[in-house]
Amino acid sequence: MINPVEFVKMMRSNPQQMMQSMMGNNEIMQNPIMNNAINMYQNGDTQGLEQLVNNVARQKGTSVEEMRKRLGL
Amino acid sequence: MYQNQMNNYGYYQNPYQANPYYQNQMQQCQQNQIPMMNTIQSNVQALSGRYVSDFSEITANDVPMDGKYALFAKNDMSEVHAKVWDGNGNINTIRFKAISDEKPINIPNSDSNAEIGQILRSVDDLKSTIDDLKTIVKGLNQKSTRSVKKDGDSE
Repeated sequence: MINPVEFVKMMRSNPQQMMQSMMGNNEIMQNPIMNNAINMYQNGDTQGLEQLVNNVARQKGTSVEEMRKRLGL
Repeated sequence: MYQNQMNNYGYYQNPYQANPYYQNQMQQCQQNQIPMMNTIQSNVQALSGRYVSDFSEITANDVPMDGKYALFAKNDMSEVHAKVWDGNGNINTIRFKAISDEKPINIPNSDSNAEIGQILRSVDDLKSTIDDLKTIVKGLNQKSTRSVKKDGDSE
């Protein structure tokens, strides 16, 4: 399991490489959310990605702002 | 021969135990069995989920994000909820409700109406019989009073 902070750092430093490594990971690709997120990222669907993140945050009983604060962004 | 296999305490002793070839074979067998058992265990997919007293207890963290359903059953098994994360980041729920095998006692209306009709007819028959009896009794009473009067007149 990747530490969320590490994950964000990696995404900031080299997102393309991060995406490539994620796409090669079977476990990640079996996750329907990640699968959809990667597809949206590849298609440049930023609105869809934002909606997805909002949905996950709502389901987890939090908000994107709160998650940002926790990750120190 | 048999006596040789019994040790001092009277227990059976494996005659091959001391044989180094046999021991080597046994070790190889055991070593082969361990990976096989691991393979079998890894192929078994465990179901996610748990018993709940109320479905509001379920949190998003209880549902795995691997695209597989997690099952949550009420303690009395009256209802089961299957939950899964969809690609849009929402949790979808399928609800299963228990169906009781006990059949409710239903009296068909048509039969009960027929029975009531039959009872009413019987009551009507009884009424007419009573009325007939009343007229007969009345007639008998009138006859007896006349005869009494006649008797009185004669005196």
